[in-house]
Amino acid sequence: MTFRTFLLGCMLAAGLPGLAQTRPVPVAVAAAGDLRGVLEELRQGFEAAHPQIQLQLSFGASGSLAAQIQQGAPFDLFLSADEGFPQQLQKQGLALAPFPYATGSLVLWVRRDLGLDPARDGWQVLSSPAVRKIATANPRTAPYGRAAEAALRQAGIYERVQPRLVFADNIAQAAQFLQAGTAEAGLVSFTQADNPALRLLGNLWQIPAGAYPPLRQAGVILKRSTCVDQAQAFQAYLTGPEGQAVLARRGYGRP
Amino acid sequence: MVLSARFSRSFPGTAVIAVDFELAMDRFGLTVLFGPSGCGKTTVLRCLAGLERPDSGAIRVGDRTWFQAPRQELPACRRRIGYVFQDPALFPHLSVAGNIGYGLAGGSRAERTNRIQALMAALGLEGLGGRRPGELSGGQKQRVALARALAPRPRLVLLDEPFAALDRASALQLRHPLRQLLQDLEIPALLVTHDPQEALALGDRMLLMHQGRIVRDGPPARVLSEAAGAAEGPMGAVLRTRVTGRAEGLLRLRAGSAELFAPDPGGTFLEAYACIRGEGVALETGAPGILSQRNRLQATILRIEVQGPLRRVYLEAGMPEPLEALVTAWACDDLALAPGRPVHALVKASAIRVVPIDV
Amino acid sequence: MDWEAVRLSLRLALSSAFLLVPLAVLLAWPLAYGRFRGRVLLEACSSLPLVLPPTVLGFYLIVALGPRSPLGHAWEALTGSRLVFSFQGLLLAQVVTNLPFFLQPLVASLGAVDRGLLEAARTLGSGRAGVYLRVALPLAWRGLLSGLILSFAHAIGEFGVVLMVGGDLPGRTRTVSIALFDQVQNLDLAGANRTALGLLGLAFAVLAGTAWLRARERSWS
Repeated sequence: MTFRTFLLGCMLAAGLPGLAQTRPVPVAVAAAGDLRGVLEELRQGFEAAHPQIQLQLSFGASGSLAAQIQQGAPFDLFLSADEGFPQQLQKQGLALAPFPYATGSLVLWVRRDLGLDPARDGWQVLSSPAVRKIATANPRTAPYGRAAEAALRQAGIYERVQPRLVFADNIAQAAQFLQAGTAEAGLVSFTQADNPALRLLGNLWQIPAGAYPPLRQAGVILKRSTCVDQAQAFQAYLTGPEGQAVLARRGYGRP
Repeated sequence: MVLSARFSRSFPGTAVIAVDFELAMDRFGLTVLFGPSGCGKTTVLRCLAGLERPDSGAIRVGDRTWFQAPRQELPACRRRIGYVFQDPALFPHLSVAGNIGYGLAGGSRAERTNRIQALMAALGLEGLGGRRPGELSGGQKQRVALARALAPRPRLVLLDEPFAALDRASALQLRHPLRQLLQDLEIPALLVTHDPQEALALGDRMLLMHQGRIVRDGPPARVLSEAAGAAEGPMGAVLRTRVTGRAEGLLRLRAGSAELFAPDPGGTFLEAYACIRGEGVALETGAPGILSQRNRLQATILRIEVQGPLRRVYLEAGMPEPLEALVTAWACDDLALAPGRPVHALVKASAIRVVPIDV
Repeated sequence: MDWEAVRLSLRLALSSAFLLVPLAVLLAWPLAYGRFRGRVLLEACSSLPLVLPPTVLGFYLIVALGPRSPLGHAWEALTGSRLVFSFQGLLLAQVVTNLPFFLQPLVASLGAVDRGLLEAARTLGSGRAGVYLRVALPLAWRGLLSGLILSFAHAIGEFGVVLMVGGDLPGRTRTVSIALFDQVQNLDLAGANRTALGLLGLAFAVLAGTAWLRARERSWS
């Protein structure tokens, strides 16, 4: 164990930044959890049309991502699950004007092998004793969680189901609880429930739009970005015909 | 230049060590710090070295203060003393040459190598430079420890029972080269031991410690003979003997092939240590006359060591240990004593202290 | 298998492990041999990351490294980028979090060195630094190696602090453990399984390595 070996190791380890000079421009995108899956498809379509741009995706609860951005996280583009967080960032001078890109919808999903049919019985299925845990996103940080809470309250059953609620950090994690079987039912986005993994396992019911404040999903370009042009290119793609077509296919409404 | 040490150190319980002595630092001299085990000799050494701090007093060398109570002290690494521990304490991760050269600083690599080689040669360690301490015998380890302590040319060498961990043969082999080397290098030394033979063989001066204090200070022979029989006294040359007979207040003891008569201290025992002070052994060549000595042994001279105006003559007399006789230089010359010469050793029975061995 | 995350994790773990070497060597000295009044405090502080929940650690690290802190501010002034959510910020956080994993075996090894050898070195003219660097540390090299391996392994697996201080930025702070978390949330069970197995294999290799080292140490003395 010589001193020289240490030094060498230090240098090798700490000094290996990206070596290629002709790499595509990376755009760091912070995206709400419900966009997991659909954003991957959007990315592939966009990068095929713009090979000199590379999208780097990070997912999380909209509120958590907004907090990270406030603390200086180096994202270029933020796709929230609501309008509130992007507007807040704009007001704080951290972002340009928000642009809506989709409208989300909430569904109630129940495991198929319990023999319950939410499409027929609606909220009734939650009173079944077989449903021991109900997954939803944390209402404080995830817009879908807020919507879920609103829907439950509007149906008048929030107090009754509250002891059985399991809060995930973001809506994608809530979907993961359903897939893993740690929760028998849950309130997730339509896109997630439509995911092959969940579609096979359960039955879903689209909660009527009036039951919760509309999930108008908006995005925003951050002022600190060093590649605003590229970010705007993706914004254009997202709100343009190709992006919208993908979103519609996956169950999102128009912005 | 003189080292003046006057300090005390107390331990929890009752033990207090208080010493007051001086050592000459500008010339060779081997001072023995003598006393039974546990009387504080090692503590004195450690305080001098700076490994422990006395509770009160001062240690000065010339006009430099090494220690002044309560807290002023020169760190051990700056005192330029060599220390040979009882357990050689060789660095296991360095070779023999690496160990010896550890304290060498400055000078060119060639100079350092020469110094290491010279010391290795002086202590019979040639060719072992590349070995690791784990591959050496006990005697070799202690030699390396000695070389290591001496390499940086210290002003003073402290030796803490350096032969205690060795078997008797190795210890005896090392005694003489040790003193010779120190003398050649002109480095004063303070050697701790509880072995009176060792003290007599090596020391120019003896500080006798008893219950934490230095009670006698002088040439080893005189100190030992004065102290013999006293509470702080040593045993002198110690022989293990078997009792083969008793009569008229005398014991007949057998040691090896030799037979001795000694005063009977009383009591029943089968074995005893016979402590024979060299001062009580006379030498004679030629046929005997009428003598008062009861013990007359045939012996051959092994070697003669100079002890100032005296000569310490080591004799092989058929006993498990060499018999030592202390005679004047005149007597030595008169009798033409030389190694290999057959003589008769006359031991005054009254000079033999018998210490019974309880089984 | 997310190879970018693997590369990132390796870079992070190796860098933090090597950065820890001088830091741990420096701190191990007073911890192993010091006898001063603040010693208990030093010992407690350096072991703190071991017992603190990662979220507490992460929170305080964000406070200490964020743009409003003196360190974060100075960093931004110097480099123009934030310390949090960057590789460098994560590296700093990993060094703090892994310090006790490096210190503990090293201090233990140092404590096991024969004191007589250290005294001998002092009598031969070595000051405290000399004794430490020339005798104590070389004889404690197994503790050093153990600490290096342990902190490396721990850094590879660190999750909570990485997520809080680094976020989940691909290529910059998305380590293997975060990538695994991502794969699970993506409902990619097959991918998650592969990643998890890889991490398990690494953990096992590390434990086997340290056990082997310990066995050799026993036979050596």
